[in-house]
Amino acid sequence: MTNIKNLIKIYFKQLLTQTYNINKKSNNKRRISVVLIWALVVAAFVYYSYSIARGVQALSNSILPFAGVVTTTMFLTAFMIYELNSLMFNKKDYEILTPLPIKSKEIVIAKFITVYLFSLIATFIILLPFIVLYFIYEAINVWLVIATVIVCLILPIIINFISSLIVVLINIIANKFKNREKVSSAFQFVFLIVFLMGISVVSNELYTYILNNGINVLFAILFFYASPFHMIFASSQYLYILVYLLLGIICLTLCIYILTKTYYYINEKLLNIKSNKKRKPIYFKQTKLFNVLIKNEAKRYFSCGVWVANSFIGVLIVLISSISLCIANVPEYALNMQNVLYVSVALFSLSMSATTSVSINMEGNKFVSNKSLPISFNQIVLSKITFNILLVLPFALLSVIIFSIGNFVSALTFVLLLLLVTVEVFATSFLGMFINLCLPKLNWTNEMVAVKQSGSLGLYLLIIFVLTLVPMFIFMMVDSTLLTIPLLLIEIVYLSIFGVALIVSVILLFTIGKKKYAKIS
Amino acid sequence: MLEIKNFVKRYGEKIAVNNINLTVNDGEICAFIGHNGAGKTTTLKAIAGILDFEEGEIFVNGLSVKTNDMEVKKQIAFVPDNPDIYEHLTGIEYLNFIADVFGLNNAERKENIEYYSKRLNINNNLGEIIGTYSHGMKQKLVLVSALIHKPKLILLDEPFVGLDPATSHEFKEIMQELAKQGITIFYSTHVLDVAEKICSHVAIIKDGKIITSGEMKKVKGKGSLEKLFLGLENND
Repeated sequence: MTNIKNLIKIYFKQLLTQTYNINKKSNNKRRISVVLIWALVVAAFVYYSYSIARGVQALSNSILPFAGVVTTTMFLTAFMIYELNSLMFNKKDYEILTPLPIKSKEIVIAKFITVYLFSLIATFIILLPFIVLYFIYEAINVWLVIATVIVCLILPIIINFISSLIVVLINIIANKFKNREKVSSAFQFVFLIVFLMGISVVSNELYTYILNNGINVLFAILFFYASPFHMIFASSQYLYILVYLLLGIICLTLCIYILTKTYYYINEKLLNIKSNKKRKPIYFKQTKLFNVLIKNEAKRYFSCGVWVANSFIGVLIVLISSISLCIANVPEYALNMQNVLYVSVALFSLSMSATTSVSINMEGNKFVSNKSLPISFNQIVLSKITFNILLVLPFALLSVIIFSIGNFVSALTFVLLLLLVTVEVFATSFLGMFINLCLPKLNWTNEMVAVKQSGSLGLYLLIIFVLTLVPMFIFMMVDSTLLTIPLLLIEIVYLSIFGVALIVSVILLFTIGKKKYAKIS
Repeated sequence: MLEIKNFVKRYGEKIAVNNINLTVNDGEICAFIGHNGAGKTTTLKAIAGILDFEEGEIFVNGLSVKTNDMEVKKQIAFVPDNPDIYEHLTGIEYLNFIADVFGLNNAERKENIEYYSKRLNINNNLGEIIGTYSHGMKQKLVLVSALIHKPKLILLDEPFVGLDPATSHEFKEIMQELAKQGITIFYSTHVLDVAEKICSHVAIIKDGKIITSGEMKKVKGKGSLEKLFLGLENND
């Protein structure tokens, strides 16, 4: 028990420092800013969940609990795959703990409890808007409240069980390949897309079917994590609370068993470097320095799974949302709201994709030694910015094209959307670069620290929240349904904001940023 | 104390360690020498239970690393080549964690942590977060963590890298004192003159095979260890 208790403390602190960027030495200013950032993140997720719940409510109040559990499961599974993978199968952690007399089971339990506690908080954030709407508009009694509490406690176990199965499968397959990191990242993306798309694509059709026909055997199996909850709410069959408890116990036991059995096998393989017998040919060819710098940045980016996962998710969300909105059957009166929401989701997600906010960090200690080379400040920062633009802009434009064609927007709206995402990608690239130069973190031994545990990322996210979400909250204060605010107005407002942000970022980068660069040692 | 029998380790198709046999007895300090990529770290990690292996057996104090891993781990300490530890903990938090793992009571842990941290000159930094440590300070902390539970076999992968001269000297003293107490030390190094001075035994590995091993004096003869090593390395 001591080992489990100690390990939970260690992992919790690790997650706090990596995710929330606070530790014992953090001052109050830092703590307040971190709390503020995360309060905004929680608000954004509650708003996201609430908007889905309102959409489901249009079908029927009675389907809200089922839809809530399905949405929470799909959304969290997509993210827990990534979190579980980085926590359970971690080379550094494995190397520290394996020589010590700690059983694999103890390590797995400690890690599972850590992710469980985090997913428990996330479950509350996503599920609660659905349940609150149900309680307000449909019914509330003691049994339903008890059932909700039990579901909130058990659902994270089921989500982590599903995520664990996927993560173990991904790792077993990835271990067969030489480039296991890339294969693993690719699989994680595939599942991320599948689950995120599942929320918006499958849901409405499915809920309508269930409303009309009830839950058949196939759905009971497919949605084993939601069906008992539906039976409690829809049919007042409170014995299903026991079914849900039993389900939780089975999932927990299986999850710990599977992870314990595979912990050593998968982690040990992480240390095995598969050598390629065919050696790559050596070539001696002069290339333009700027091109080489972009190529190096690209190689550095794609070789770091954590960096890719952290930034590329924004690009994926933009693409998924545009495709989903083309498929979704939105009533005509709600089209304006849908378009406005697309703009805010696209801008926010694209901002999250800026690789420049940590690209100096990723150089590590090499950055200082590279300063001795005859490479100018402009070449260094512009190569990093160019790479980010090349990476994000094509997807951003593609998303706008898909969305515009699928939703028959006017030519002016289309052109303004193209212009808006272009200016936004440029602005966030320059802004991220400037912030990272002001707050570089070069002394690290683990890529995770450079990507997640840096002041530059925290400050960048805070500014992005202000630029993208605050205007949207103001619009919602004017009209909470967003039905009457013209899309063109929103486009022009955002275009102005990001236009100014771009000009300011460029000026700051080449004045203060240049001085900060000179001082990095 | 340490017995390696027909040990083979493969990475995919590449054979990293090829059928090595080696015995290190109680109280011996055995230097494990070889060029980069020779198989030193792989062997040390296999003994520590970090790497699985396909063929052969490794015994620590008569116990198989494969079948009695927990019992073996209670008797050993492993210091990796890179002191990559939990950056978000303070030095003392990390040492307390290790002490908890080995079940050290309050008196034992206080005595041992204070004793070794003073000797390795890290005692004044134990309250600081490891992430703020230099490479050398992290190395000192890892060395302290390896000593506090009084292991019977200490495995060290290039332990002197990053240590300042004073600490390096102190650690050599500690190694010799521990050997006198009957503790076995098996360590990889590229610093041949240090190995020559403090080690009673030596094993030289080349391309995954042990090309010579035994008592230091007998193996190197009248010449230096460096001369012997370079001679063996150049002899294809």
